[in-house]
Amino acid sequence: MTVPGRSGGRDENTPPDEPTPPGTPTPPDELGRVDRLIGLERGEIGDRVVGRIAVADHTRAPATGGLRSGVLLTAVDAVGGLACGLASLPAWIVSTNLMVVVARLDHVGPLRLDATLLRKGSAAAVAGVEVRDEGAGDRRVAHGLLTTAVLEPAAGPPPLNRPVRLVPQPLAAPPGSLERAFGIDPGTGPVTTLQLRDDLRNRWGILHGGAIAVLADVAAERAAGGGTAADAVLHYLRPARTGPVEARAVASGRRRDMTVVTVSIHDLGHDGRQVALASVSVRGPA
Amino acid sequence: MAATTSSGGHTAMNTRTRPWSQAVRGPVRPGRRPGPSAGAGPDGIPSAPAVAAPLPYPPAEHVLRDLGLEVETTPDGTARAWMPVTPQTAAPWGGTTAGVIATFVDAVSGNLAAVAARPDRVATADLALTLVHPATGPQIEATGAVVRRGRTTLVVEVQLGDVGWASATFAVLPQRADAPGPSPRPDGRRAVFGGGGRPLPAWIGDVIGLEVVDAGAGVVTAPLGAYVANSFGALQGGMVALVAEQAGAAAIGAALGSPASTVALHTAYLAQCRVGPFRTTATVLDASGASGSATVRVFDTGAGDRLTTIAHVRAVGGDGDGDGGHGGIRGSSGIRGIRGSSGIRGIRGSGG
Repeated sequence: MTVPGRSGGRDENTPPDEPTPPGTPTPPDELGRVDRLIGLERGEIGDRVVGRIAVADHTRAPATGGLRSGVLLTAVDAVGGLACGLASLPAWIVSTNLMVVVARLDHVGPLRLDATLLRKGSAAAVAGVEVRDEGAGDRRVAHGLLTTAVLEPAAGPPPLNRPVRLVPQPLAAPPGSLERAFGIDPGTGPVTTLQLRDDLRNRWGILHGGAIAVLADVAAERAAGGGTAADAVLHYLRPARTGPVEARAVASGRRRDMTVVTVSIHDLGHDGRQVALASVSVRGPA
Repeated sequence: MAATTSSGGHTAMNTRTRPWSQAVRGPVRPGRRPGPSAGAGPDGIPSAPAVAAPLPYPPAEHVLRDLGLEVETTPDGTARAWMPVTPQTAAPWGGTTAGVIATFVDAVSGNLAAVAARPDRVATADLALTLVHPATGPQIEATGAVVRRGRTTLVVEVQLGDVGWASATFAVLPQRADAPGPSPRPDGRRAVFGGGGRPLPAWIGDVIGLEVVDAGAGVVTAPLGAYVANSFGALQGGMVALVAEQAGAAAIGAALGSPASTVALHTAYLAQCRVGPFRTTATVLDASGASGSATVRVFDTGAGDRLTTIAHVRAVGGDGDGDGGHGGIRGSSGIRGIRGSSGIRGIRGSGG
């Protein structure tokens, strides 16, 4: 896979044709631990932030053949978050809210994510992320909206070589399953547990938001009794520092071929406090 | 042009320009008397008085009153609320249209947020809504709870019974010494939001002057008027959601070849809709079989076509499939989502 490219503006028929951007890659460990787990590359091209992700065996939804939505959410969070973070320098950001509408689940891949900064205020930054399937005529796959809070971390922003390029090393061995890659225990039913491994922590030492998105996705599918997660709304409420992290999912209703599941996520090692709240639509047979 | 909160008759406000807000508000406080109005600048943007005075909001003729919302806020940080299901707020395939439910959610969650944030103010930053069953009435009941109260943001979850689920994020706006705000006190009483509304005389879209210009492109327009304004005199956040929802449903309906009812709505508020008229565009992401999705952008044509809001809409067409989803057309609602409006503007004095 190559480094992130971009398409020509808003013309959906223009293939991505930009050359490899210059710059020295930023050490992946600074920002890219979860990127590596899902095979996401991201970086700056001009004033844009672009990501690219292939559909791998462990990130593929069995029923549809496309990228699992938890992974798609993680990628939207990472690419949109980089756009918001770069716009906030010398401060940095944390994700607070992620809303994704997933139009297609049958991706060929790789998928390209184009982030646009929609708003930059003193306390918050908002990015829109358009997702297209480069392997299927660049057709639209999804759109995400990421809201972030601007912080001034004591340790400063992550050290970045500009323009930023984050190209993770390939995984040494295939993780077998997405659940295993993200420390999610096997299981069924309404409660799903994630073991907070150190490699799932972000730069601030807390559970990566992408891992929370994957946990919500897996928990919603289990609570629905099958199907494939699609549209999602995710609120990051508090950091998860200790673990294990438990997702409690309730199927709140069924609409045609879609089950709407509400997922409340808690840090069991921190008095069980609520760390995230999600609503996930699960498509397909229950 | 009143610069008050979007909640019940109450409260003074700081009218300083807020980058986030669709509405800056305090909780419902029944029984407060209206006070004098704040001034507005020549561009229609409220100017900041040195000391804000109590202001009437919503004004006597306002959509929030006419939707008949009732809210009961309790001291434990939760709220219950009710909204009547009416033909004037119906969606093409039954139930209340998502944009009106979003207005309900915004009002309920905004009230809770305002109580939780005191003495600071709050403004809606984003709102998400997922519907699973059409609201068949006679009313929709909501239960709201604050799930996070942080220094800069506040998150409220709203359960809509078997109708659906919603959530909203509010930006916390620090209280300013020169703008004494409300000192809200949850009193546990069920109060009509604003009080004294009248039944809508026509479908809500017609009442607020919403017009479908180009259904396929998701182009709808809507004017700004006192009837639909928030405390800044900008378009009220729930009404912005309604406009976005109608635009998305129009575009998806055109792509499906059938009227479409919105079943999910994500709204990110980027800037206030201050001037108007407002104009939308929609991009359909997919439309096949029974449903489709779209992104919608809301522009303020009177403010240099500023992008004010971006939304995701998922809508279903056809006649449903009878499995408890959005099935069963209701005769009263017709195809309003994709039909041009009758252009009844300012029927309630929304003179802009």
